Parts: sequence; C-alpha cells; structure tokens
Amino acid sequence: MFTIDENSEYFSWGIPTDEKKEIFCLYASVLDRFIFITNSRENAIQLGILISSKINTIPIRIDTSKNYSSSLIDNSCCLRWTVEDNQNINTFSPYSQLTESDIIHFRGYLIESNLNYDISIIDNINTIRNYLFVAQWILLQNDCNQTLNFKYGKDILPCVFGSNLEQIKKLQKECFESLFLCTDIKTILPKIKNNVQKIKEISRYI
Amino acid sequence: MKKLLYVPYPSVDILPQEFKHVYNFDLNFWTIPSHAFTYARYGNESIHLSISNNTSILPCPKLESIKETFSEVTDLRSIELLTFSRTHNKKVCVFWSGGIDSTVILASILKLWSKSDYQKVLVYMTDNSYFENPLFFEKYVEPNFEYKIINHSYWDELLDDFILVDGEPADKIWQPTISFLYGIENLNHQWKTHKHYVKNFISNKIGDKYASMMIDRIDTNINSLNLDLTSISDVFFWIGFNWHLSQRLYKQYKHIQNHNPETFFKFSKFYYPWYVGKFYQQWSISDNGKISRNIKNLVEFKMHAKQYIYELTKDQIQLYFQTSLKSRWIESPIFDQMIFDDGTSMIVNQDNYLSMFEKYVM
Repeated sequence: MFTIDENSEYFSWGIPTDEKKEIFCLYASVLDRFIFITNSRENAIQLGILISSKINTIPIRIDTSKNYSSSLIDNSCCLRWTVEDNQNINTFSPYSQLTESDIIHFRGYLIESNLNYDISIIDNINTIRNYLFVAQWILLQNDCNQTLNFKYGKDILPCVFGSNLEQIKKLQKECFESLFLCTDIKTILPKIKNNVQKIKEISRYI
Repeated sequence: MKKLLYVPYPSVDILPQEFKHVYNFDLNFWTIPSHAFTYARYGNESIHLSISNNTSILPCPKLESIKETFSEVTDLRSIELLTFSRTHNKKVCVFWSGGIDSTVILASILKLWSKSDYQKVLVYMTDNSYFENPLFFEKYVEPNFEYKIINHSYWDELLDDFILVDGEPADKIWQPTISFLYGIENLNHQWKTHKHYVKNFISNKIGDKYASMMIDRIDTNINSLNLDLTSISDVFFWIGFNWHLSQRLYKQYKHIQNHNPETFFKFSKFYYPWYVGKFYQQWSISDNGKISRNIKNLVEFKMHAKQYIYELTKDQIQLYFQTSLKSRWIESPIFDQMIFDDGTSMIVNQDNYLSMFEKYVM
C-alpha cells in the first residue's frame, strides 16, 4: 500500500514556524475528526475543493481555539483530534459556493476523538490523506516559485508572461483535475511529478 | 391566512430537557389542531393520503416484516420501474442529486436494465449534483445516460412524457434511532412501562388533554401493527417513519406550477418516489432495517445503500465516506415541518423560520 509518512517528500507538518500564523484544519463531519492541517487559508480552501470528490470536509481555523498550541496538533497526529462540540459547527453550501465568511473560527476546545474505526476505514482515511499531502505538495512547489506578480498578476493581467503562463496554468490544472477524479493515486503520481518539474523549468524564464 | 393542517413531528418535543437546546423554538406553537392526524397512516390498513378532493396519492402498504435484503428490494424496485415504464410507454426522468439515495436508483438501472433501456432514461441534475459525486458522473452517468443540467425545480414540462423518479423519502427508511443522536440512556426505556414519562413531558408543553390524545394515538397505532417497537427510541423512529413519510410525499407536489385536476392526476400517477416501494417500507421495519438504524457513527449511516452502489463502483472511499455536501447532520440532525392547507410547509426548529411564521402566517 502506498503510504506517505514523515520521511516522504510529500509530507508536511502543516504548522508554521511563525507562531502568529493562522492554522486551518479540514474537519470531516462523517468521521468527526480533523483529517488535515495547513497554515494557509487559500490552501485549506483549495485542498477542500480537491478532496470534495472523495470526502466532504469543512475548513476550520483552529488557532483561535481555547487550547491550541503549535505543539498540540500537526499532520502527524491530527486524525486523533476533533472539536469539543460539533453542534456549533455550521455546515455550508457546496464548495462551489463557499465564501470567506463560511470558514469557521473555532473558539471552543480541541479534544481527542473517542470514536474508533475499523482498520479498513483507517486505511481509506490514510488514502485520502495521501491525496491531500500530494495536493499540498503541488501547491507548495508552485508557491515557492511564485513572485507576487506571478501569483496575483496573472489573473488580472492576462497578457503578462504570455504563453509561458498559459502553459503553467495548463500543467497545474492537469495535476489538480487528475487528483480530483483519480481513484488510485499511484497511477497519477509520475505525471504529477513530471508536470511539476516542467512548471519549475518554465518558471525559471518568467 | 394559511391554516395549519398537520404537525408531523410532535414527537421531538418529548426529548429530555438536557437536549432541548437543539430545539429552541417557542413551544406555544405546539398546539394540536383538530386535523393534526388527518394524514397519519393509522393502523394496519392502507389509509390513503388525501388532500381536499379526496384523491389518493400514495397508499401505505400493509406493514409486515420481510426477509429480503436491501439489495434484493432495490432490484425488485428497479424491475418494477422498468415494467411500469414499458406498460405506459413512458421514458424515465431520474432526479439525481449526486447523493446516496438517488445514486442507488441509477446503480440499479445500470445493474439490471439492458443498454437499450438506458436510452429511456433522462438524468435531471444540477451543478451541485456534479460536485456531490463527480466520480460517479464521469464514470457512469455521462457515458450511459442522456442528462440535463437544470437550474429550476418545476416539473410541469416533464409530466406528459416521463415517469418522474426521485430519491424520496429515503431519509425516513434510514432514520437512525434518536438514541444515537442524543445519547441512549434516556430513550432506551421501554415504551410500555415508561410512556407516562413521555406523556408528562408533553403535558408540560401542550396540556394534559392533547398529550393524552397524542399518546393514545401513538399507542393504538403501534399496538395495531404488531411491530417490534419496544423502546421509546423505537417509537420515535416509528413516528418519524409513519407520519413524516406521508408528509414528504405530499410535499413534492409543490414542484408543479400549474395546480389543476389534470396535473394533479398526472402527478399522482407518474410521480414515482423510489423508496415508497412497499418492500422498502416493509424492509425498514424488518430486522435488517432495524439493524441499519442502530448505527454507532456516521460512516455506518445508509451503509446498505452505499454497499449497493459499491457493488457497481468498487470504490471503498465512497463506501465509507460519502455524505451529502449539504448535510444537516452537524447543525440540525432532525428538523420539523408543518404543512399548511395550501400545500406549503416549513421547517420550524430554526429561529428565522419561526419569525417568518409569526410575521406572515399567524
């Protein structure tokens, strides 16, 4: 079975070195657990959209909770954690209609989940996390190489960077679409790595 | 002014006090109008759901436990629909939300109908249906069926040519015991020995007279059916199943814009709510159905239906994790509705609905 552990290139802890940064988790209501942590609001939304073909999650900001600390929770252990009172977590419309105000700033306590699941369910949760780690990896790879001009100018200034930008967007979209519709991550990983490599090469000339 | 016809869920008011915060509506609304039980399906006879002109919509089957599995019942329903379609020479329009219940319909068609019969099927869906279940759409809907993405929910244009099939009222056959949602200790008492507890609780809200009437009705109904409904929790299930099911079926007539005798006749004849098949209702009260409701977590919710889909897709992730994107589970596990004499209904356990109710209706 394909697994992503802490030694994998795709793994990320999900917590920032900067204590002041916001922390978001993807909360899976069907499991009543957090399944992924990220320190970027944009990534939380993007990852939630990408994984919505497989599981419904809710992005929740957790550094606002009463007992959050950076040593409490990260991607190595977040599966054990949940919110104290999920009655206060409002659901929202599908991701296609998600707005910033839908993102919950959780003010209660984070607690350890007392639900136990069969091993086959745990295996499938880990499979879902594999998708999230790879998706996060793609986002981080691109993010590292992006200047602010590249990141934001491309949407409002379509002439900027010309054909190189179009090519990058196409390669990124291929990666995300394959993650969204994939049922076996191993089959798409070579293509994703190849696309990310191409993006890096093209980005050098921008 | 609208007239309140039916309160399908007096039962939620019986919840122990510690769970009352979920239902923070004004209890003064819980008056029992004289018509309160007009549409309740009563006793073990088929009492037809009727509206003002006494035209039958959907009769209740004789309720007796059966041994068939969910899969077998679904197969029967699928063949029944195919036969109905051939008999009336009509195509089939499936309202596909992408959720579990309506996906079962398409899975059964793919399993049992011939490819030439797939051409009879039109899948009505919205953008949200795609987001709800993109993998099923890409792999099974798009390659096999004609589909149409719609942005309205009026059914008039379909009435002449199609049998209209949707996933109603699936939630009623799956309704988990309230004990799961609210903790088992308080609702696990035997109904026969502890119904006075329930009655006392209701009496506080609506008075002794109506509380007695309500308890008598429930008791008579249950006793007449010889059903194995032993705990208070079981009784809650039955109330939801027996009463709310009828209400849900009537609700769909709102999708017809031109309300007249002709459209009503067509609607009543060719609206085909998938889970009304009598075997589903009998399955729901059978041992298999009871087991399906005694769930420990949300992964197990509707598991029999998810297994049916899994037989086709072999997708374990969907088997375990598929839920509705618009799931009410977190905020409001159970909601209550009132029906008015013009056919409209409303959810009453949310403050904004209540204030609208006060402003525009009462």
